Amino acid sequence: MLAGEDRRELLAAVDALPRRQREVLALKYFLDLGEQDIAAILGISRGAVASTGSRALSALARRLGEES
Amino acid sequence: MTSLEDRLREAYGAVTDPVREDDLPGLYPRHRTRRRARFGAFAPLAAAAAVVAAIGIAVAVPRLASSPGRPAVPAAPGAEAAAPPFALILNRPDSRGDQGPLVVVSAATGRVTGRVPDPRRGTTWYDAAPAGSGTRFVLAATPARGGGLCKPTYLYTLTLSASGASASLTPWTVPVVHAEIGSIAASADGSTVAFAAAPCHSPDQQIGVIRGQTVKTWQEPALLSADSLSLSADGSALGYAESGAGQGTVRVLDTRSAAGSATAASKIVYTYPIGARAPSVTLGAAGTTMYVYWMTGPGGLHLTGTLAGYRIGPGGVQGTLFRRTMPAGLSVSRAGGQVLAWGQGVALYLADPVTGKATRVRAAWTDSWQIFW
Repeated sequence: MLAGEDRRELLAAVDALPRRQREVLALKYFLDLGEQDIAAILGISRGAVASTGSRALSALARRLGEES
Repeated sequence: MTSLEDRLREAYGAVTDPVREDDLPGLYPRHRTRRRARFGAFAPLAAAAAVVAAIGIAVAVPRLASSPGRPAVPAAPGAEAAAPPFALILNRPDSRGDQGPLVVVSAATGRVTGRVPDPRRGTTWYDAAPAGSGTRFVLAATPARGGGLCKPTYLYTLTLSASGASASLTPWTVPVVHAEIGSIAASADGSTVAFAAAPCHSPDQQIGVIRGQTVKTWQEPALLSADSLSLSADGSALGYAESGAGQGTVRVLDTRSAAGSATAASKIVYTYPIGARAPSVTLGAAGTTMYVYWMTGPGGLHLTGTLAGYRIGPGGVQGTLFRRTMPAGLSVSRAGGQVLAWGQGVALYLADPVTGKATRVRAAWTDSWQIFW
């Protein structure tokens, strides 16, 4: 269970991501959709979903690491 | 400490559950708890509407949570070369967020023939585009850490030996793309590179072309995005799939045109069928052929893929080369003279550019994070 402060820090980091990265994260981790479904919804290739999601996680990890 | 992915799930769930049920009356059935089950219970239109609404809310949730008080001469397509002898595979990021190694693999044997170390301390490989020779690639690297979200992208030219080893890695003299690029493409000689990127602090996307010392950019319209970039062999024509306005199109941009609006500098050469999902495209090397892939269907396991090849000209499609059904979950790019249709975790196909006959190849590569061939 995340503490409220940790949750706010995480969501603030998400907020700083580019829009497309936020969309992919929301569809993947909020709606639990697979890459194929996300690709269909956003109208982008499955490869773009994979790379966007990975870049978003990478950016989040870096950002949270820097701020901790 | 749970993984970052687990923390994201919990954070989204904790903050958005109270919002969704109250703010979206009628979009979700009551007495269901699993989010995937809620999504899957609706007809496609309602599901799409719910997802669009959910995106808006879920994307906006961090703001709510962090706010105070609330958490040329047409060439016959058959004359094009076969698939190149080597491909690059970039593996998934590791648990620290770094990407795995970039390796060179032989198309003939599938074996690793070389490794490309990160270009310099503190940077990591990020993207790549094959040039036409089969032994030359343009590589993109970004700082592995630091730089916030406005990291520059550094470009390099990788040349392989005849045996597939890394023979030389040469940095570009104009490496400054002040954004993390989303897709790159290279001309046959590797001297021209096109990229799509969301510039630092901007919500809208740009298309850029680097040729020699010049970087030229075109602005995508708000809410539209360019993806699946490919350049003709001479670098004069840039094809891309544009989506986001309810229907996808293929545009071809004249890279010699003045910088400015991508819409003004390009022409629509193809419109995907209504309802097409996840459209992708690649131009043939001569710029006179085009290969498109899209999916149709209600979603989930019921999607069907279509791969089609067309002759194109200034006025758009001039003739159909082929059109065939393929598995769902793929996207197309070019592997030399062949059409590469790959879906991560699905399959890897090489398709004949004239007949569309597709051959499944290299199953072991299917789960790679990115393949550049």
